[in-house]
Amino acid sequence: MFWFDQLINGLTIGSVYALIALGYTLVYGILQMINFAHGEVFMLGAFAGYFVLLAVGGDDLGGATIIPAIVLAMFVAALASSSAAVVIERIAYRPLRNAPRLAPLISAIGVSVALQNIVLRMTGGRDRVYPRIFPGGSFGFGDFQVGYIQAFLIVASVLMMAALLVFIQRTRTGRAMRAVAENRATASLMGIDVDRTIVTTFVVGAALAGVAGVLQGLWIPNIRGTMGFLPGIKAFTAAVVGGIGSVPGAMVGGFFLGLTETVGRELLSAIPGVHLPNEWSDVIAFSLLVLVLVFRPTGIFGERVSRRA
Amino acid sequence: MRELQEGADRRLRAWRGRAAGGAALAAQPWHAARERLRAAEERTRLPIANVLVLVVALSLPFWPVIDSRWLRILVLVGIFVVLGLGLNIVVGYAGLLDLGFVAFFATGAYTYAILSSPASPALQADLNWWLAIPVVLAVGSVVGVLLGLPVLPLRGDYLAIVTLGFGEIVRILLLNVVGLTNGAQGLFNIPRPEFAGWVLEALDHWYWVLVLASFILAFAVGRMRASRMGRAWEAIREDEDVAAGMGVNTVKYKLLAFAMGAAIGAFGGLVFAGFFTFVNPSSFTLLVSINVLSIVVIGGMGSTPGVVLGALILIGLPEVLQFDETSRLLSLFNPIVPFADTSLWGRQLASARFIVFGLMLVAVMALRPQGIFAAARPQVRLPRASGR
Amino acid sequence: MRASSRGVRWGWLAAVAALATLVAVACGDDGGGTPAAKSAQPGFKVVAVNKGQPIKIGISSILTGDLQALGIPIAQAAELAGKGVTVEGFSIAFERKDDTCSPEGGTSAAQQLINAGVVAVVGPVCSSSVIASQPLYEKAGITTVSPSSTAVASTKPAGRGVYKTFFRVTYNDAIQGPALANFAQNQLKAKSAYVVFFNDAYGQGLKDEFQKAFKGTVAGSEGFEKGATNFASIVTNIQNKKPDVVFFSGFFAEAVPFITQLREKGITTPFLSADGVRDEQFIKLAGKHAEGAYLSLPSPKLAGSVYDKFKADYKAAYQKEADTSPFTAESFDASTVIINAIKKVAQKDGDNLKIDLAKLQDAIAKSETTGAIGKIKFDAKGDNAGGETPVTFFVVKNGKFEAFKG
Repeated sequence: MFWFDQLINGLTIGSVYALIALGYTLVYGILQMINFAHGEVFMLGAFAGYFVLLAVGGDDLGGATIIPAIVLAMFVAALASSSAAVVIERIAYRPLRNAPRLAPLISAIGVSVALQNIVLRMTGGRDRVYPRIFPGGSFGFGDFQVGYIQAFLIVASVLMMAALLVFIQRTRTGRAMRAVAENRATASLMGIDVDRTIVTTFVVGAALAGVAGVLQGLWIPNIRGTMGFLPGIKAFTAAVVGGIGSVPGAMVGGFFLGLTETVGRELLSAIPGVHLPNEWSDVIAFSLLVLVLVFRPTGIFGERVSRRA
Repeated sequence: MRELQEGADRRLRAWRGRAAGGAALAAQPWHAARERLRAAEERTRLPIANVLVLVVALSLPFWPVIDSRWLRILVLVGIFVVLGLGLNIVVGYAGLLDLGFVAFFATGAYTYAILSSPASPALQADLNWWLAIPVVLAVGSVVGVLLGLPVLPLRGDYLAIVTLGFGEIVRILLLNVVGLTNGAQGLFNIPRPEFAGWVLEALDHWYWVLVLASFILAFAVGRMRASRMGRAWEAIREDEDVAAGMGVNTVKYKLLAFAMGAAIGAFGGLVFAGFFTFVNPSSFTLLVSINVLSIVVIGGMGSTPGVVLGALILIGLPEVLQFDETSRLLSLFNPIVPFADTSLWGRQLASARFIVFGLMLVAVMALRPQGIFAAARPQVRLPRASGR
Repeated sequence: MRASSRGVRWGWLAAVAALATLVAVACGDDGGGTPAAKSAQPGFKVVAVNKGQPIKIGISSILTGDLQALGIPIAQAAELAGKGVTVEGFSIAFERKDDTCSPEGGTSAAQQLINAGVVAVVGPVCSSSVIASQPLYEKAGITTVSPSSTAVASTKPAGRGVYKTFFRVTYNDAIQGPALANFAQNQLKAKSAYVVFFNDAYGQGLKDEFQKAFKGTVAGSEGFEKGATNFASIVTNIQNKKPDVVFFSGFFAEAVPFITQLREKGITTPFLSADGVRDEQFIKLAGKHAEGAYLSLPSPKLAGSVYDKFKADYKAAYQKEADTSPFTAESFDASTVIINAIKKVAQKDGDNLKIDLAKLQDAIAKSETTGAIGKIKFDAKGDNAGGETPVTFFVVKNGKFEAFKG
């Protein structure tokens, strides 16, 4: 069924956007900075997962062995992305904690350009292809079919988001993160180690992005040095639509953007006289972004109004 | 009229007083403040240092080291200086974070290209480049206002992402509205500037035109900054709510900032189209916006010399890294560096030049978080109540 | 009265701007503006190579960023052709410059190569660099032979004569597009086609030529951006429209995720594409999904002794297969054409070597070469007119490209 398929497509890409968007929004909530290099953290996760899967057998994996292999790949990817984020935070952002607002943005852009080109240089600009170990095929009733991989991707993302919400709401560290986001100085007076909490925030956001990298790799096998740039921008957009700084906002924003690009575009195309093939999807996504922000200048869930550029 | 002006200044003064948290400035003698303002305007009036810089800049093509490769890069640097001056108004003066400045650059380039290229599918207008200047400035500022209108209520990063979206929308339109823009094939054989038989083609001529244009623009921008408009921009940048509360028409001045910035950006596009005689959408990506923003921030927000230095570093350096001289310079280290053949480093550096570029952005920000020429902000300062 | 005088000044400016706009538009309507750049004579010079110095040939290719996978092998293949070659005792050296596939990079690379004293250039690789740098090379009298610029505009610049100093070894879209359309209609008996294209100069150009020539219905035509990996939405549309053939206009980098997602969705519609996808990498990465894909190549054939030798030499020199990347054989041939021409026109001048660039251009223009891609000779516009059957078709069978037999 055409519309159902497009809905699933939208939800799948939406969950990738949402997972990446969470990293943007967490960091923004705490530091009010756009972590432009976050898309590259996602890319590094995808590559880490790729190397793990190759090391444990690559295309030869089959049957039940794929489960531990995928879990291991996700774990290592989360680890690799987090380590990268910690290093980036230490080198590029921490020295700029009290600098003018745009300084960390430019620093982040620098990290992003460097990481892209380092990976491009190491891979010779060639794609790497994930082992196709995930069972193809689909399930469902009649015309309503969902691919196994898409279902896995959506479910895994939703589970991780739920875990994140619990983490932020219920744990000590989560409370510390919220406190620092609320007011850094006061939190510090309350005995919270601000530097540590900020690093934790980067780690959590990066781990989600790393896992998202593996999930996307299992679904869309091609990975390359520049693969993080576009999803990074899209996820950033999603975070802003949702209301940057808001965790539920990033999730909703991600799915919203994913659905806009697929179902939304097809819906518009269904209007007689309107013809909007795939190349227009970004125009539609960004136009919608403008519309949402015109009516809700701080996004769907946003409260904070940042006053300065 | 004087009352009006004085009224504005008084408002500004009162606002400064509040912003500084100091006592009311009402007791301050009026003429002292007036003097300061005049001095600020004076500074933009071609002092000797500026003339010297202009002379040195103009004489560059006569220097023995500056050959046509350097000039070609300097022309590209010049185009980005123009873009930087434009974005500086929006980001540096008015504090509006714009990540889609490429939209205006593209507008300027395509306006001229469509009106002049023989490959233009929609019309064959043969517009002269010099006569295109006012057209492009007008179209640019109109587009600036049009894109500025919907984003008026937005602030900070919300503004950033929407402008980024506009930049992308413009690029995708250029790609997909094939009937007007010739799509991805681009528009070629765009005529070079011609005036009474003199065709602007030689590199040094282009360079001089760009130096002069940059100086005129820098002067004009400096005047704008010292004007009431500039003070309003600064007020908006420092605190939009307070500025509005003090009677600054924020809608008008924000739109003016967009319009002025956009017009200058569009002029940059016009130069680009006339110089390269070819435009296609792949020259107008988000990376251009990022580059221009980096130029402004690295140079020091709001600083004009900063824009020039930023453009030299960001646009010039990646090309210079693949110059043969860089290779030769590296091979000079061969006797000093053990276990490595430094003559091979040249090619490696050339292929890694964008890695170097990225790391350099990080390094510069770490060393000079305010930018290289940390701009003195705010520009107009009134004496404090305590007196200095 | 300052405020009011400022108001007056702005008013003046506005008035002047408005007037100038009027004049400009009026001039435009008269057609009284400047004509497009006139075709001037190229600025040929005579290059002297001193004793002990090599003859320099330039390479303008993309050596950084995500297209380096295309550009570096092209540069390597060009260099291979000059390995160990001497002309009157002078060796050949290549100068590589990165043109970043952009107009800015193309002109900057051109200027650097011109200043470095090259006698000819292999490249530029991308059409946008070609189009922007042609005037420079023409003025300097330096002949360029592009291995890979497929845009029609490269040899058909609107509003001016052709550039004498530009030649290309590959064939342009106007040759490949109609051949592909014919193939779809006659061999695949397709009445409807779904077109998926890379939204850049190559993808759009080829797709336009295909659609112009295709007589059936075009069920849909959708573009994608550089670096796209997610084709789920397009695939769903194809499933919905049920076309007889899917025509993919782009490079293998995106063809792999596209065909993978198409086939995994259970769609068995024939897949037709062109030279950008005819690449070992496509088969290697797409695996079983590549089976049965039809691909065109605008060169007569990649076979024969020259090609075999090139392949073997390339592997020996760089430890990888030449055909893992498109346009390597073309680049080798472009370089060969230049070197052969240099051999023909280089003259000893005492201890030095003299190369007349005008004669070099002439020698290249008149050259007839049997290269790795087949016969190469140039027509008056600089297009390769060497092939008897300019477009051949391949089908992927058992993980190999097999020539398609009707």
